[in-house]
Amino acid sequence: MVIHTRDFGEVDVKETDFYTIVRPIFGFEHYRKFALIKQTSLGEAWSWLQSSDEPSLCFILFDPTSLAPQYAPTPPATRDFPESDHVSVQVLCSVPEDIMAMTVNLKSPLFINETRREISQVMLEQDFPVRFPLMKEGQ
Amino acid sequence: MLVFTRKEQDAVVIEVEGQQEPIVIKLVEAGSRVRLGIDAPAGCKVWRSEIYPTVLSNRQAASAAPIDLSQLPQRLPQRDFGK
Repeated sequence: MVIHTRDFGEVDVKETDFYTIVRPIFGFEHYRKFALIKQTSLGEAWSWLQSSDEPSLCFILFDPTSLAPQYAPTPPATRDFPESDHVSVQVLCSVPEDIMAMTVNLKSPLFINETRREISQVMLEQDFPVRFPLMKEGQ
Repeated sequence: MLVFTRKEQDAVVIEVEGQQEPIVIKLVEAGSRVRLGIDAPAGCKVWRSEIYPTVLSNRQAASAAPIDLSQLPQRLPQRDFGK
């Protein structure tokens, strides 16, 4: 199926390659079907979560495990995340005009169940920051 | 902040200028935790307050103009995520 995207033009995605949102991205409850787009030239850490319905709705995802082993959140022990499924973590990036000032949301990561192709945003109990600057040294 | 004392089944009514329908917040059940019921007209969004910062952050994350991530340094500085 071809989806229209603001940033990548027309993208052909196999129906089985789409991801379904199980627990909504907070504030974006109506958007339930996304494609995961990677640009391998930028390395493994970056990907884009592109809405299948809204061309301009595209989140930038960052793989936090590549950067800091201390941040290794585990998915909630619920039916959506059985032990046997392969689950990965991504965090949402906010990028202002100055790209070096970009922040990531460590408090509410996305858990991606690769086995079921399902994505949930989960607010963690730990006191992680919602806007963690990725580039700058600590404050 | 307006603070009301309510018992179970009591409510507060919030009128919004320009809105026909008010917002109603009801104390459904009191105990060690409290159950609140909220009636709000369409267009009003209600979130747990601890989620709201993520709602704002998500909106900002969604609104970015197309980004050229190749501008980022190849290696990100080592960061300590713990507190």
